[in-house]
Amino acid sequence: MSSSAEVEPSTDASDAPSGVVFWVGAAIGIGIMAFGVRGLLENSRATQPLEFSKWFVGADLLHDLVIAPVAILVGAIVARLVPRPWRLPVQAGFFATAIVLAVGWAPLRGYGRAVAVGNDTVLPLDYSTAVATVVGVVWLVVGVWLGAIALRRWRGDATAGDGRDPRRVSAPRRTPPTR
Amino acid sequence: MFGTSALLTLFTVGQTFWPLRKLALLAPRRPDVGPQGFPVNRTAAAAGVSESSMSPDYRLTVTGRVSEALSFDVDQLRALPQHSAVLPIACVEGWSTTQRWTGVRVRDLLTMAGAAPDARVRVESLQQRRSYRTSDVNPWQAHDPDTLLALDVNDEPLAPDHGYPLRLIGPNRPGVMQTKWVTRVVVR
Repeated sequence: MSSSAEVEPSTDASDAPSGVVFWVGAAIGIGIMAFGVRGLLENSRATQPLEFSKWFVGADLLHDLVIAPVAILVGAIVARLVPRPWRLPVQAGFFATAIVLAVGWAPLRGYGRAVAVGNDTVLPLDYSTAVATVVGVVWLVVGVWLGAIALRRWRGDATAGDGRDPRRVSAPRRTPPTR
Repeated sequence: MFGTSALLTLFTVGQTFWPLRKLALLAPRRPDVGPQGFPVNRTAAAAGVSESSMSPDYRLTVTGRVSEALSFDVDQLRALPQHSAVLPIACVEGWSTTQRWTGVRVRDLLTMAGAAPDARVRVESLQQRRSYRTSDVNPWQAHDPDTLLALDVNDEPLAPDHGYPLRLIGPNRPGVMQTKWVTRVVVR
């Protein structure tokens, strides 16, 4: 995606794959891809290459134009509004919510019902309620997590009172090298 | 990351893991929802067999590399020795369901028709078009005592959408190859 001028060439020669490894790897990889493309085209009745191309390109566009910007925006807002000790549970909550919505999107929109008319066993549930329930469970967990942090901080204030992050206290200390 | 994976697993695994079926909130199927209590991939109407499967002219024929070609109507199939097997339909869509099936052993039919012991078998559906109207049964599967042409599921005749009057069910086969509305067994 970025222009070649910005790419920093690897200065450490030992990091770079040797020519043989690269070309063998490339040959195997291209072979596997060619096998896939051949299967895609030969079984076109089942694979629907045009539909596949839409998904193949569409998924990249969706990620770059919608998902990544929204994630960056939500991340920036959370970082600005939520103080550090509380931030991780909130970030985890948004992450889990996004994944649940991604997985729930197809049943929520009823994709598949149109090609299975008269088959009541396809998408048999009320997926609005289902997705809302699962998102509810996510934020319930976030709430319990935040409560636990609050409790720990309150206890820490009451006993130690040094105001340090309790995670720092339990962090493993580096042992000095023995001579 | 781990927590989210665990959460998604919890809310979908029920479509194949029976004890958690009530939690399968995000799954496109529920293993306990459907005619006779389990799901349907393709209905009889979608397969275009609503009439032919119910017709009094329905016959199962056993043909091909046999010493005697056979033909049965539904009553004659029921008069043959019946056997039961508890077997899953495991669909590549991700759901699965285990039921108790009863019907005629494929190997009994092959013996009656005088097929060779190494015979391969192709099972054909009443379905006229689309993929998976036939499926192949290899010699090991054909001779397995649990490979049945089932007439009943859980002691009831198969529902139309589950393959009435006759469906193939055998161990170690993908769900899509448990052919429904079977009308012909071709020995090869």
